[in-house]
Amino acid sequence: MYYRLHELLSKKYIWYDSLCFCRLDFDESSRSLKKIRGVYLKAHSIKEHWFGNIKGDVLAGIVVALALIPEAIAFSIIVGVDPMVGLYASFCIAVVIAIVGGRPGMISGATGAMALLMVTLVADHGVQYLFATTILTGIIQILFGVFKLAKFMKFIPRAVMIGFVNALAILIFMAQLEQFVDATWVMYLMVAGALAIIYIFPRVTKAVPSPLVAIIVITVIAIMTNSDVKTVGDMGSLSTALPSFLIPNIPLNFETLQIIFPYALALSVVGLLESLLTASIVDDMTDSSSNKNKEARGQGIANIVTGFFGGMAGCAMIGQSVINVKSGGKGRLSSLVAGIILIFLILALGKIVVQIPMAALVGVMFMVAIGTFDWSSLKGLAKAPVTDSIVMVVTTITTVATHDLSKGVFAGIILSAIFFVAKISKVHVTSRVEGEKKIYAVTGQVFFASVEELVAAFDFNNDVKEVEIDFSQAHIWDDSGVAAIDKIVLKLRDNGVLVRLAGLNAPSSNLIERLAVHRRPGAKLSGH
Amino acid sequence: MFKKILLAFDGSEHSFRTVAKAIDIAKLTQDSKVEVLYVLSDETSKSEVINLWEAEGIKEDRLERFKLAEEAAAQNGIDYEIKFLRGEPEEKIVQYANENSIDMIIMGSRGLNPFQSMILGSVSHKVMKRATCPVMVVK
Repeated sequence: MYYRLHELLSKKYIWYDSLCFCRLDFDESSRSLKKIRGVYLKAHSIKEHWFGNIKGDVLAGIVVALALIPEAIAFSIIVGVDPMVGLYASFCIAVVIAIVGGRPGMISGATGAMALLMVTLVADHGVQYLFATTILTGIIQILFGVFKLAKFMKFIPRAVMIGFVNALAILIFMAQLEQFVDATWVMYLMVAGALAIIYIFPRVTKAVPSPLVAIIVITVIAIMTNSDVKTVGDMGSLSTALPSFLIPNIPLNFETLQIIFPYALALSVVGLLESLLTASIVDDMTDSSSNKNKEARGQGIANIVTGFFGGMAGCAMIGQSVINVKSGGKGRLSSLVAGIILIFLILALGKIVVQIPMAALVGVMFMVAIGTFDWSSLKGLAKAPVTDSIVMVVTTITTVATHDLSKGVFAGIILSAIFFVAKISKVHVTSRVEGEKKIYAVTGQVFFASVEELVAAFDFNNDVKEVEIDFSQAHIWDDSGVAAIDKIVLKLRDNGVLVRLAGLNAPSSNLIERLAVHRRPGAKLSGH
Repeated sequence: MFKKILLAFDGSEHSFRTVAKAIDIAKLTQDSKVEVLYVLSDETSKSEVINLWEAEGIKEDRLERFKLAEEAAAQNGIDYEIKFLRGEPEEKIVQYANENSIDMIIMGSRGLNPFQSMILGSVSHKVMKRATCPVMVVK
């Protein structure tokens, strides 16, 4: 629902999202909306979010549910827990996000990025700690949303994002390799068959997700030929019960918090990163906008609910969301339908699900890995600035080496920051002589990283009478910058030269005013 | 002869070569018009969002890519129009051409090898098969 300006003028509040009122701040004097711009003007009503696209949403929801099942099982196996943990997570998250999410049409559930972060936690402390961590993750994510920290995600450089996405793909791929240990040729054949179906079946029809077709075909072949390949049933038990409310069975003390907090923090950041990235992709695909802080809160609520119902932490899924939008889903109903159909199918078909050979799931995960990898980034490697490429590669390698997506992102951000500082710390100083006077013109940013270069550019053993330093193309940022200028001025003054600073912009001159010592009477060059 | 020319454009380097051809052909006929069609597939959306983060920036960036094409068209006095569509490129190009009685489609070839075109599918091949008007593939 779009509001026109004259409609807005008659209202004080509008619905700008299904659950939020938005206050309008209309500025009478300039006859313009002060607070509400672009995104808010494209306001939607609850009804439209839910029931604006019933047929498309229901059909897409069914397709998504079918595509969610294999992934939820496979991600549980990566973590080392029963398949039900991933399935309950995908069910709970999909349903809760349908109600409280900020991006209608986006699909959330158990994901590979999150699963990879939990492996060591489950191995060391068990599944109960996983549930507690999931709840804490939700709480942290709600805080992110409440304090509107989503916008800070923009500070993560592109190269780091690409490295993150690529590392995720590589890790998902590598997690499958252990399934090949002691495997027979039957396993290899089945994986190859699954991949062939996944990539060739869409040429026949795109109405049914090809991964599901692959799983059905491979399962049927495995059952008919009585092959003794590993199945989902060998990896854990599958109960045909609805998830029920449970409080994680862990000691509530500081020690527990010490164990789960680092995991929860990493999960929150990675979960929000992928969710907000996915939300932006859905924004672009549907040519609409979404409320990112609301999405952050929604992800938090969904994870808290999931933790209490025996699921693992999850987030938005790029692949599934793309499938949803392509299949015609764009409203909240699509996510709700996906969740409900998923749990219904598991309850009805649990006995068959345990017979799915691992080979089929490995094939599906290979497809997920190939689809997640940003292949265009390889082409970009040659074109992009070399520092960007280094950041991307370092992010990817750190992540793959440590098996920890948050460490990789951290390394990438630090490296980008260093490169950025190095890039802008180039100051350029030119000098010319006008009669008795020597004029230095400084171009660039004067701050802690560039002061050394700045001081080095001055010639203190010159026998000119007067020096003018022109800062009209420069900006002084911090006390290191001011101290460097002090040093230059005092040193020149020591040599009996008259120094004048010219062309300082207002913030720079304020800073000098406050911090510089050379203006004070009797100023002397100090030790540093 | 070719009054309504559809130029399938994706802003990539090789698609600039198609611009030159489209202008050459448009010049042959008086009152011809070039409709520049940019189909955004889900893959494009995904990769551009990962690369640019913000939806607003992406829109500007996409329009930016048309600049060179627009300049070239303006210099040669060619009438043109830019259209964005979302979906599978091959479907949208064919659908648009057939619905708007386009006289000719001009598009670039990505130059995929046989394996890539089996997996990815060659857009130009599909368009040639399904379009009802002549198709020019610029190599």
